[in-house]
Amino acid sequence: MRWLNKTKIRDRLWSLDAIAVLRYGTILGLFIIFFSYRLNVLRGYVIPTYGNTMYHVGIERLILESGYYPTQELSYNGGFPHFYVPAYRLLVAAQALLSGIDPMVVSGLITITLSVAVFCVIYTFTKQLVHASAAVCALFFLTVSPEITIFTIRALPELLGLFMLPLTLIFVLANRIEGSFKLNAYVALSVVSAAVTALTHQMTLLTLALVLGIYALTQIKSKNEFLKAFVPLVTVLAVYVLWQVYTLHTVSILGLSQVKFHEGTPVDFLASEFSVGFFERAGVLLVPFAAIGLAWLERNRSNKRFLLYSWILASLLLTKNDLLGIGIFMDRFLTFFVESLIVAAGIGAFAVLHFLETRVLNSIKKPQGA
Amino acid sequence: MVHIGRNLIRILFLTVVLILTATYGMANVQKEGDLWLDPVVTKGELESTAWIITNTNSTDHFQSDIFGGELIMGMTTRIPIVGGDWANAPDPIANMRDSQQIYQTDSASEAHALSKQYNLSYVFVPLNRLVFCGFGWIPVNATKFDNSDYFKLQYSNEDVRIYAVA
Repeated sequence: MRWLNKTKIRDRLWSLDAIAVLRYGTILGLFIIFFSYRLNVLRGYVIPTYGNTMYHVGIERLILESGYYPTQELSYNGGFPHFYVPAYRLLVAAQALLSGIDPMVVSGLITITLSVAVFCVIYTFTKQLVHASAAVCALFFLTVSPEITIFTIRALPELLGLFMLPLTLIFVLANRIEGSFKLNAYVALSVVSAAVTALTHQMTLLTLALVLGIYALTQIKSKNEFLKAFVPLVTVLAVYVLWQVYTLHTVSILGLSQVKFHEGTPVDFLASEFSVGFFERAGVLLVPFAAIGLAWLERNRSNKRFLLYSWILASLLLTKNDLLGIGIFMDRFLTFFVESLIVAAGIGAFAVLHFLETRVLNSIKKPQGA
Repeated sequence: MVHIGRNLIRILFLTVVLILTATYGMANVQKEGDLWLDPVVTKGELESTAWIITNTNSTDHFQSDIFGGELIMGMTTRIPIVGGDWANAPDPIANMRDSQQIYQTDSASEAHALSKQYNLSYVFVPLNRLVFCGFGWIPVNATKFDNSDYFKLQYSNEDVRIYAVA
């Protein structure tokens, strides 16, 4: 195999410095901890059922039995149009078809696979934004995050959304170094990724649309950078509108029960009978390190920082949409807010470690001539 | 020597971080996460879905709670009165209320009338857990379903009974 150049691999391994070896070792350690908890998804006689997981399995089974994506609902006594976006269900159904494994079991396997994909995408996004060491720090916060854990052990479309949102942002970020706006591979990838996100999960698409919208506004002085965010933004909105018009024959969402009955739980600092607790779900370490990370980003003034700011601001606005009188799915948008803070906290921890490295380790005096 | 000293400090630091992550960090994760790993439905309920596939029509509707309904949907594609996506449902709150009433009421005739109103062919009765129809966890009043004027027992195991609506 030509790509398996043993000499090149050996040279690469020998050229790794101590920091890189430690970084890979830490990633491996965190991955083992992260992955081993996700294996619990398969420990029972049925996958975890909280969060309508078996409903999605039902649609996937129906796709396998009929060969079509259903137009009518199985839910709530059926007999009304089915409008849930199809990407996640088609992914599970396709895997079940190819493997011959029951879709319920495939849902569990895909949950573990997607949780690993979230682990990888957070690393890649943070690395692209700042540095590989900051990305490793972000993986630490991801591993110990109760909120991310809850949404990476359940067989839900939102889990695919937790992967697709940062993936789309990675393509937008990667395109920054390409100079003026042109139809290159990054634009194509950001468009495809945005389209898949639109068909993955409605709350993810809302978050992505708002992130891209805010980010596009921050780049409005540069036509090139503005377009790099605006094109996937138009894609995500257009694809979803087309889907809803196809399934519900309207662009309005005001008739949906989730809107009429304000489905969702408010998010407060601490949990109560009527609210989800931010600190219980986010973990106590996240906020202080995220604050340090944001301060560090602001001090370094890289233009890339606006993408993370946009993500944090958009997901915060959506998490607190009850304050705007909307009151829908606040607790579900919280997951995207926590995901964005994990990146910021990773940068914060990187900044702290960098400070300790220069102040503490450098105090070990180098010998003369070293 | 300087490099060895620095790297030893780094290795010690990262080892401590990983140990704390695996112990204290994961204990906190487990505290929040383990609740969501609960299957809720019992093994006998899962086993009953094989009987449902073999002995009922694909268009049959079931009285169930949300978790039982989604199990039935997931394993058999049969249609439950509650469970799944309520976004576009005509009146999901009425479904939740009436499903709960079918489980809660002492009256077999009332449960039967509500079942007929929703065109339900079968009633799925979990025996070893509380049910959740949308307004909190409640116990099932199962004895009324033994009134054969209204319901006929079709299947049972230690965790669940399935009755046909007469």
